[in-house]
Amino acid sequence: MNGTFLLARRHLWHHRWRSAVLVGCLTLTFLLPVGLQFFSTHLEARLTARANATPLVVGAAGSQLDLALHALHFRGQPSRETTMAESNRISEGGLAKSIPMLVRFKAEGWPIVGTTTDYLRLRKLKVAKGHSWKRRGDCLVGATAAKQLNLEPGDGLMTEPENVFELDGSFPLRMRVAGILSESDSPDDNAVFVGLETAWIIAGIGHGHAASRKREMPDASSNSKATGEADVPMHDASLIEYTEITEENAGSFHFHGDRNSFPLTAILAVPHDEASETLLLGRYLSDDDPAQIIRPVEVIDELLTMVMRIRQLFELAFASMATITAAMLALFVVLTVQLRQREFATMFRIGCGRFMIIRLVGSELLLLFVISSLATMLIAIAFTFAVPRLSSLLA
Amino acid sequence: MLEIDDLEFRYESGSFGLRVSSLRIPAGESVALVGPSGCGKTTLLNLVSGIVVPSVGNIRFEGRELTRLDDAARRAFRISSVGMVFQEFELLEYLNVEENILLPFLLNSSQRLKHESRATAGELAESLGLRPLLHRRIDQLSHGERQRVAIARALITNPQLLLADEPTGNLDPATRDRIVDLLFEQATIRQATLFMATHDHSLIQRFDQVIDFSAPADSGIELLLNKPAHSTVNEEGNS
Repeated sequence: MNGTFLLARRHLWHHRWRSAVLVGCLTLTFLLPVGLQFFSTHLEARLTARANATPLVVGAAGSQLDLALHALHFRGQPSRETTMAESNRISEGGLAKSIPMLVRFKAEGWPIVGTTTDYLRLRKLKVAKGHSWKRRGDCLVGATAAKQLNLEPGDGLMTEPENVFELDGSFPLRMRVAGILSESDSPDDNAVFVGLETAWIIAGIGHGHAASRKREMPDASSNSKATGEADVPMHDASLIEYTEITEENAGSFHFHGDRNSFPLTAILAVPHDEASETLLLGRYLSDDDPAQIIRPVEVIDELLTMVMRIRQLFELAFASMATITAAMLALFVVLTVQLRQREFATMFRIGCGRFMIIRLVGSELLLLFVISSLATMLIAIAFTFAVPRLSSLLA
Repeated sequence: MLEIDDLEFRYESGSFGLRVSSLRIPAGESVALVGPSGCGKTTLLNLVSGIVVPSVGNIRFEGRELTRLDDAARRAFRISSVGMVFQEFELLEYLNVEENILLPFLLNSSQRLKHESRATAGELAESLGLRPLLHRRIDQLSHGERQRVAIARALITNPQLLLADEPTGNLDPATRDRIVDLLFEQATIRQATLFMATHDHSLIQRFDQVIDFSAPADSGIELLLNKPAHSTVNEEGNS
């Protein structure tokens, strides 16, 4: 080993805690801007890709950003909901295919997306295990959600009550996992998909009737006439904790009221062509319209412009931090040289020149930089694996 | 042979200096520099080793005119021909015994440390009784062991000039005697000229020559105190 590097290495190791603090400071200084750049680029790519794959979104008038994040990433709730009538209006207008969505509920923390099979086709979602939903109460689970919840086709998955304090609200629904979706590296991995009707049942709009049973009398001929209790319908007095749609009771589930009034939180509109898109956009120009239509690409672009500005502020902060770190490092070098005057004087008396001493201190700094860079690289690699999960949480 | 003629040196502050009219030390001889602290013993050692350069006069060692060498050549001379032992040992705490012994090689060259150098360090450690301590840390050694390591470091380049500045100042009498024996023994083996600064008068009868700084005139040395400075060149020597 080169003599200078041996001395530098030994000195850094001898003062290993001090060296570790320096490496930590340098690593952080390198890592923050690199990490921010990496993370924001990844996030930007994901947001843009999702927006590009979604032509138009219709929802109740309100915040465009809320609607875009809700329809594309199942995040948050629009301040108001739209109805099935709006979806039908789009379909019947003949300009676009309408894909209704009701994303209001959760199952064990994962958003439930009530929609139609058109949604699966639009997003090119494939069933990896099991099959698509066949009846009310069936659900398809996104790859990540299924992995986290350890679900397999045939398992049950309970919805969460909309409001735990609403005692007279609808019961949670125990859904049947019909299938698991293939990984798509999109927010669809983190969602549970059900048919619209199932979503409305969870909302308490649709319901079924439990079959009554007759009391079984041990000796009906001798007692029934006397007590008059024969053929009296008996209802189960046990506490109902959840609803479950089974093969037996599936037929009894039904909806009251006009379906056009049933709630939706968003509608994806897939225009047949560019002209249809323009015409459809034109239909929502009125300020009085209770619905709005957005181009997700434009809304996400606006969001990214804002993110970019924030990133620039962060970069400025990181540049200041790097300058402070450089100044601290310079101070550290000056103080080290002062503290090591005696050691350097001995080296000089033995026959070492000033250049050699500069090389020695330089080698120590170089080693610190190399170790910090390696640490930055390793953390960045680890970050690469963690970032899809992190960005999916953020997106 | 070390020859000094008409030498005059003064520190930049001008407060202290030395004038040596003539001094001849044959190769392989031992010289004791005795006198109280601050009387110029270390200054003479620094002049002889080329750490500081006189403003006037000549220093020749084995025919080489030291005063005419540039900085790099004087450093090369120190590292190859001079071995130095200090009162405070001046070992590097972050190196082990073997690495401290090899320090002149580590500082001298940007080349990889050669296997032969390690072998030489091993042999030297063997002869100084340091073999079992080669991989020990410096703070695990006694004062006597540390001074033996310092001596090994001074001898590793096989120098012709062995300079010892109060090498026994921090040692108990028994250890002091062993260290002095060792220095004489190693200087004799290498036919090296030994210069030792000491204020221990009990040692002086062992030396071939004694330069007594408390009576410098007898040795051809004049101490220059509080006189105006001549143009001097000063590197980083000690007074």
